[in-house]
Amino acid sequence: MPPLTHRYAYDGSQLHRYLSHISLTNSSSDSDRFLQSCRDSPLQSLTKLIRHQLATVSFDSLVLHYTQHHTVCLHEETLFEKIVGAGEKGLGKRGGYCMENNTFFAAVLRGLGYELLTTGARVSNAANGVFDGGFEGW
Amino acid sequence: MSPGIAPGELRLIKDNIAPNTDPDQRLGIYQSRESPDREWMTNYCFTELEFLPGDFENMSFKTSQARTSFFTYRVVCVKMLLDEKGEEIIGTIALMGTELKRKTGGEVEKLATFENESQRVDALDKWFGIRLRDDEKAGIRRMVSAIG
Repeated sequence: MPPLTHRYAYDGSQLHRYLSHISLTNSSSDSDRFLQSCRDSPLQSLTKLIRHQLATVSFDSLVLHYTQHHTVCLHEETLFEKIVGAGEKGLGKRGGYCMENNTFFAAVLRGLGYELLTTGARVSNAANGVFDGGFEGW
Repeated sequence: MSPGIAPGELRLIKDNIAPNTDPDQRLGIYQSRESPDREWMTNYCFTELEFLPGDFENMSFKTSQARTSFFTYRVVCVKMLLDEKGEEIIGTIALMGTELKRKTGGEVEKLATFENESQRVDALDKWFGIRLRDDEKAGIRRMVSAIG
């Protein structure tokens, strides 16, 4: 049994596939260079990474409509196959909704050596066009 | 405060929120505005409490399964757009239900309105690079979110 503090991190080969998927790298030496840049200039690399992530991986609800099962799975391996794997099987790039994409991205960041804390947020009613100062639950 | 997608701006403040009954609570509040001359709008609030995997499972259940969660009754698909050099984010492309819109530099451009499933599925491929399998396309049949 892994300790309760264990959190998922994608491995080197998964990160290589992911970095290529978001068009940040073209080769494994590019990947190694990027991994090094995460150590040398972490904020700058993170900025670049997030921009490419956001421009490649859509925020979407498709899994609840365009599937036979209509459910969300937050397991990191499932998410990797869905987001990165689908792009390689001729199925085209896939995305996910907030918790899918953030669970996925957290595992990417840990794999790249970043230390992170995950927390939740309440979405404001204003973000849904209702300006009453209220929020939805976490 | 920092720049968002031009000409937008983003900021983080720490404050009590309107629904709090305890005036001493402080949460991180993430706000944005479309341009410097507009009002700040709150998007999210959060704390530094570490949320554990089980917490996200609970949250995800409501968000993905409750009939009152808009994700369950509306097809949405949004992606950010990078500039030609692939460096800065300059806008978004958003599919919401039957409409497809592109927003860059504060301007909104309507790209399409879908009259049937085939048009929306094609748009997911054309604009988002999302190619659905046949069983996936069939998954939406008889749902409230299906077109036609």
